[in-house]
Amino acid sequence: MKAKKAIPFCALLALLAVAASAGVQEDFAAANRLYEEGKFAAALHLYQGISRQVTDWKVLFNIGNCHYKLENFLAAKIYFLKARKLRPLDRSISKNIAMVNRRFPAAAATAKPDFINRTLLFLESKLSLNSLSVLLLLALLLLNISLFLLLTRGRNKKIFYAAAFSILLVMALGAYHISRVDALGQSNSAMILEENSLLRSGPGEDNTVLFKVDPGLEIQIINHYRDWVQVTASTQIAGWIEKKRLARI
Amino acid sequence: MKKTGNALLLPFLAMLLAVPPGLAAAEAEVSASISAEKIGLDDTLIYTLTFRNIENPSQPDLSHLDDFKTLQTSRSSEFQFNNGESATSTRFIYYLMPVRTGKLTLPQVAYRHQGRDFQTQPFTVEVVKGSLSPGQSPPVRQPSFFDDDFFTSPMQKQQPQKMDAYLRAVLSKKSCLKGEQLLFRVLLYTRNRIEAVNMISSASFAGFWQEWFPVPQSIPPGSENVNGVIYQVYEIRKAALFAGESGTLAIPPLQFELEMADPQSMFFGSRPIRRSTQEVKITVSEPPAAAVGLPVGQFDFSLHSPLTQADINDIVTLQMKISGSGNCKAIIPPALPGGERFLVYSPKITQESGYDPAALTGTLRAEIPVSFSKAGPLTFPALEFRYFDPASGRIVSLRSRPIQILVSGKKISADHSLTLPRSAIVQKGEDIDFIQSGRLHDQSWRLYRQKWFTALILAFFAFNLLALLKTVLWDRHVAASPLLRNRQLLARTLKRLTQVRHGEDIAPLLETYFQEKSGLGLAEISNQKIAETFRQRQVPAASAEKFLFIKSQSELARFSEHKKSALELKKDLETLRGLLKEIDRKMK
Repeated sequence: MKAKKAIPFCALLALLAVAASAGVQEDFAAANRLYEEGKFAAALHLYQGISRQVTDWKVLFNIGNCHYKLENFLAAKIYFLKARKLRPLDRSISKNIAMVNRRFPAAAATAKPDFINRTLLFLESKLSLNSLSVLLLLALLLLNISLFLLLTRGRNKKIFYAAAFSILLVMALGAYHISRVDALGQSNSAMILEENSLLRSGPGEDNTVLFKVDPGLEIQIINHYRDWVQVTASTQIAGWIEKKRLARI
Repeated sequence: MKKTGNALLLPFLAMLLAVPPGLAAAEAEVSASISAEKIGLDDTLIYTLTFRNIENPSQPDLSHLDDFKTLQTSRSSEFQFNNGESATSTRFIYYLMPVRTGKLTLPQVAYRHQGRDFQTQPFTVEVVKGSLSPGQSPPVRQPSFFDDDFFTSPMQKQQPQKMDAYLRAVLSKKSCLKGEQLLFRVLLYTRNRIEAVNMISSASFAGFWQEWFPVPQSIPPGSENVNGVIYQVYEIRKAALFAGESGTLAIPPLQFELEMADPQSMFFGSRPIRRSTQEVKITVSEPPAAAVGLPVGQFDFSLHSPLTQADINDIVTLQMKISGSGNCKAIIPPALPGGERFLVYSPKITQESGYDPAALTGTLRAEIPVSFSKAGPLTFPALEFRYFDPASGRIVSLRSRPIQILVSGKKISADHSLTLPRSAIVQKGEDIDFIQSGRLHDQSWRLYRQKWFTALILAFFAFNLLALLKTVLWDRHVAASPLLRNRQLLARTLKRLTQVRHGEDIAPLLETYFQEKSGLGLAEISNQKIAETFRQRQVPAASAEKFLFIKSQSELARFSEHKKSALELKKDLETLRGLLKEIDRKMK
């Protein structure tokens, strides 16, 4: 009886979800039309409404485009970087970041990722976290099947190799899955927002000024202390800065 | 200085001879006159306004005239005393330059004096091209109105001309062939300093194709003795001319405006003057019939390939170069015929001009992209370029060297390969990439956050753990221990006893139990052996006898017609279970 009562409720929920999704798609198409007509401010308004409902790199990318066309280059860069976080190594995003970086001379100081980071970024761009989760489940299933066969059919060489391979696969995928989930929870990337921002030797106005940084500079947060964060832009540039001068990406 | 002194002296003397009171004044009058009714565009018209018996008249402003440009003005005054009557006269002289040809009108001038209006008559002046003044040969110096100084009275004797400049047009040849290069130069002869030169006439000559040389920032002067007078000679313009038709062609006079330094100006001023070159004629003849249509001049021709080896998929760009002096812009580069083994694309042709002092030179470059269809050694045929050399009067034929390229399947590096000319692509602007469209997916939804995902992972891990425990611990250590094995054997035997339905089934069960318990073979088992083993293991004799009795009864039951009832069988099995437990304890 309980199951029979739950069916209409679930169906109603599914219908609502489909209707909400269709509304977002329509809004997205309408915003794209506005952009094509050169009504960037109106398109931006719609995109921002969509981004509150759906997290998709396309929406963030298009918001960045609107800001760029409206000459809000700082905001444009923030949204392009947010889009890149969801879709690393995308050529369009990289190109638009490069275009907007021309407005910020300091942005050019960002170091290129090394080989390992590039490889990880490539993996990240090709393998979404959900796909990784599915792969992990499949690897676990393979491991269980091979173990079951090993237990029931005795010591078969092929089954033994399959079990060993599936154990290694599960370990590798599990470790990568954990690291991806861990990285998702930590948002270390940020960008300098205000003019004449100062990097100090410690958290507080009394500390020595080490560097003056310009808006648009991408930084990594490495430590927190009250309203201050310790940031680094490269191996040579690091210091403490107030949180309010940053925009988290 | 002398002229200036005179100019100042005259009004001063006039003041000394001031009109005594009581002298009668003559009738006031304003009149106008012009120096000529027909002038050239290069000439200057003198317009004189005379005010008689009007004291200190103000100078009328003629700057509003559209057809004339006021170059200079001067003023003079006179005082006469005749028969007791005094008469004053003031003249304003305007030096006017016409700005166009045709019949131009000088309008009337109105003047108001002591409530009375005066008006001069209008004049019509016919202006024609050029100059109506005699020729400009330097020894015969023409009087120029520019030589007059401001405030100089026209009553004074004309001073000698100070501006000495004339132009000559010079051609490098008096006769030429059609298409042959001629050098046309405009030379300025002067003894004054030049401030600026501006060509007013159109720089195009009918019957010629011409290319003007760029005007240098500074022109170094030469010197030349003309009729005993040393002139500085400037080459102010130069052009390469190529006659496009035969016959006698004329190069019309070119008019220039020269900004010459004024030697008499106190402030280093300059004056504009206009000068023209003379008309130059040249006889142009047709080249030989065989040379019609060929480029005329002296040229070099080459064709080469930057590569000697190429991949079959590559595009090699052959470089053709034709350079020399002559009508380079009329050159049509010889076409490379296509073959079975290669395909020729349309070439990219660029032309550059060089301005040597003696001639206009040019370089034509053709980049011919070629692709291959078959591998193996390939020879491009030699190309022929023909031109007519006017110096020797012969047709010259130049042939390029045959080009050999080894086409293979081996890929050469991209750095050395040549593709279609990139200059065809010109970047005009840059912008961000366009917006993205398509279906949206909520990228914040995570599979790993679902409860069933966690449960599934845990179930898999639990199964793995149990399997591991069973394999590593249970099977190897627990299940293999003698204690557990004995217990398992007893439990298994007791379980089987519960399934017995006939008396004859008991004996095999007991034999199997004894076999596994004692480790003996099946053939070795007998009642005697069982009794002996029980004795060795100190199994009570009563229990051993009972065990053997039940076993024997079971064996006999196969052959007996009398079958035990279910109740009797059940009783025997219960007894046997108790016996087995007792025996098992003794036989651990």
